[in-house]
Amino acid sequence: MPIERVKTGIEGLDSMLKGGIPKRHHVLIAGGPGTGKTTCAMEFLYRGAQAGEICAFVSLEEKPERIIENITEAFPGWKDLPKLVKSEKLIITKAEKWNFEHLVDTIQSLVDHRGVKRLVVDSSTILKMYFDSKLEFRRKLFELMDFLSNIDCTMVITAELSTSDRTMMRHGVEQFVADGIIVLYNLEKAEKRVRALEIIKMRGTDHAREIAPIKFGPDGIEVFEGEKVY
Amino acid sequence: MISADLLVCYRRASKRMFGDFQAERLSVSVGEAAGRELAMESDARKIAQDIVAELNECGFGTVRAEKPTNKIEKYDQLSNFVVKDSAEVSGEKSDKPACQIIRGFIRGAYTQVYHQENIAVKETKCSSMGEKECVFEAYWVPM
Repeated sequence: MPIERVKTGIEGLDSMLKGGIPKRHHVLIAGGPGTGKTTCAMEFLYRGAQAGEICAFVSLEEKPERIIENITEAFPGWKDLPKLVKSEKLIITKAEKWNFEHLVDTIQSLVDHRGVKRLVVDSSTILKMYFDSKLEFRRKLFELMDFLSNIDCTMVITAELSTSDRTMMRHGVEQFVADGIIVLYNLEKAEKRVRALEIIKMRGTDHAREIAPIKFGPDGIEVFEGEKVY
Repeated sequence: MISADLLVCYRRASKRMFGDFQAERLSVSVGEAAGRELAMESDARKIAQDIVAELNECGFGTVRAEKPTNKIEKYDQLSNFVVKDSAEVSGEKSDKPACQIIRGFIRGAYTQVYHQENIAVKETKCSSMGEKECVFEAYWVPM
């Protein structure tokens, strides 16, 4: 039986994923500062909401109104964004800082009672600070993922890496727990920075193995599969 | 209406079968669903008294609402709930708050009535941890 997939709706990315993210998977979008993790995760929700799914963004740090401002600035072509937010096809909320229980309550409530099918938690870097040790973070994250795998929701978690240099990437705890990892880069090329994307892993499906250049346009992100970065 | 005894048996069975975390989440979920159902027939003005009445009637303990006294820093509190002889504890000892069905119930009721997710409910005292009564604080999480 073919696996059910959730199309990200990001141009070029679904082709790299051979049709989309496997349904109910937990995918990490990781990258250095300013690589566009939040905007990429938001496009995953925006495209879902446009297709009629109920989607939710749970912020651990930034205020919902600030998130909307940033997204509107990044993608001025998303004219229907306010309508999707107002109609609660796209729910943007904030969980209490340092309160893991409230984060899980919020996720559970969104999925069980609001019918959310796509969920983003931004970010695991902040979530990590909730715990005293790596071991506790890993245990809680694993429990959370295990719990979420029983419910009908596909989840993206963003993670800040300390560098945008590809050769210097370190894999954190969350990268071992996630079903999939997509890394965003801001690579140096002839004294310029080039944005790029790479699918590091995606359990249960084949995927493109090469790094692809990406572009952030007014209507969203474009991934240029098959084009060279260097 | 929900029966406290039945739910507590269910929680203990789920703990044996699925472990602490999953059992906790199931308890919160069951409580939340019941709280939301209650809130559909209520409104913001009388939700606290409806929560108290329902929890008392279902046998979760002797429940009363209290106006928040120790305001949580920066946060707007909705109400405190005090539960004496919580059915969820019934003699058990724990190193963390144990009344997840009641906590889920209160949160479900408030999130439904206000249609907002940024409401948190914390069990700040629990008799399973040696306190005289269980105390739940419901408050707004600043956006």
